[in-house]
Amino acid sequence: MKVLMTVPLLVLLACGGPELTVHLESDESLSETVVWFRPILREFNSTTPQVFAAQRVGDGSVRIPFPAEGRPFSLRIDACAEGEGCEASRRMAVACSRVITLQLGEEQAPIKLTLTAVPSPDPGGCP
Amino acid sequence: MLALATLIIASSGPVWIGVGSLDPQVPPLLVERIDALAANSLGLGQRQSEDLEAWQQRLVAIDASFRQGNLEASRNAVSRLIAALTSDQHPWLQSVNLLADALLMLGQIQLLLDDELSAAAAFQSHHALRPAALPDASLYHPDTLLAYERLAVATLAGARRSLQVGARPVGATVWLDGKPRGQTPMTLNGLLPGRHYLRIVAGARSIQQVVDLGNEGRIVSVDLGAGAQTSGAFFAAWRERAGLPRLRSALVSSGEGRRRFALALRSRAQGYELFGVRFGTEGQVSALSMLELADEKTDLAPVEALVRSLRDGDFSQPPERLIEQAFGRPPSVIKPLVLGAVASGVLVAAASAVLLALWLQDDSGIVIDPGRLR
Repeated sequence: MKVLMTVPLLVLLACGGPELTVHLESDESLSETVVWFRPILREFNSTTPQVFAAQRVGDGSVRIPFPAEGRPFSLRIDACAEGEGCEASRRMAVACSRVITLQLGEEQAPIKLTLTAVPSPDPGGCP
Repeated sequence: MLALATLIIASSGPVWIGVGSLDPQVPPLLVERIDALAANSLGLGQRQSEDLEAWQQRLVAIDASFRQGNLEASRNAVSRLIAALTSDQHPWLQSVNLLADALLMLGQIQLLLDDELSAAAAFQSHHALRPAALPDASLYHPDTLLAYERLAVATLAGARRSLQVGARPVGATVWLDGKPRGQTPMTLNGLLPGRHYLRIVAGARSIQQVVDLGNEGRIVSVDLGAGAQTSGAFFAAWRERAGLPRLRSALVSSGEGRRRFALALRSRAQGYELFGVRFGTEGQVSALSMLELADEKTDLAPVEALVRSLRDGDFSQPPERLIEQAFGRPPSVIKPLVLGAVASGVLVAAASAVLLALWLQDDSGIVIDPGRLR
């Protein structure tokens, strides 16, 4: 019985840890300092993207859950200057990923997303 | 005014109990295949297993083609996909969302092809299915959003229909448009006009149909059969393999004294055994057959013949050896204690694994690192 309980626990322990890291960078066109960023994850063809809470750059990394395994998705990061939060009306820059499909449990190479300034008026979405 | 009544009589001969697995090694896919085949053979119209992943991939491919400007080809492809998704047999829960996405894509394509009438039909179908889910403003062109508002939301504003659902047995679960809504008898109010996808489930039995709420509401009444509520208890008793008396007891306590028949799968070292059994009105075994299946993708033509023979055939008393092979022997006094101890251990191990998995869940995901912005 001990073996029965220990083996799955060890297997689970070996499975932990982040599986996809996204590094944010600023484009040279961006003159203002980014203070807030807000992740938005859209599973392929869903009409309701998941919008996560805005996070201060100074507070470091944020972790968001994966979509369902094997489901294609794309990631958008809205960025805002000093102020309160990072609502769509306040965003000054945006970065968008390509369509990604993950197989959970597999190591993923980190990806880099570059924030570029959004034009005024903001057309919304990805550039 | 509620005017049209639909009546589906699910069975007229012996009661079809269903297909069950007798051990966890039996792949659900094989059970689903046999379930679908049996249901089709018996004319019950239960769902057929389809490859939802394949449908999703088709939609991905259509989206890619659409984005490359292939409007005509995309329209034809998405129309074919919608036809597949709206057939009478498909996995409802997962596919209705996919259907809604496909309708939205079709409407968008029709607009670009200047076919506003067809776009309106697609948008209205989407709106009827998912009235609270408007197209995401960050994903669709403003012209599409405006057209959706004008052609679907404004057109259907204020138009509401009701759907009254009754079933035997009382308490069957009602699913509408892929979502559970409650138990029969019930009336669903405030539905938008258009096609809706109804599924009524009792135990292992279900009936589904497309309900078109056009100018008026509908009344739907279905009969899922006398054995509908009891199939779960029946297969649970069979899985115990505690001998025929135990199974007969579960069968008799389930209700009416009608003839019944069922299929059950058990794994072997190589392949599977499929037992087909028919019970008489007193719960006695009037027919028992066993088929050997090589693997989960094996040809099921012999199974279809077995189902029909169980329903229609005339049988003699099966041999004791086969009865014992199918239903096991009555248990000894000590066996339940041992089984109880083993089951407890397995439960503790499973609970530990689940708790640990939940604990570890926070440690994986997508990490967004803004370190290079500072």
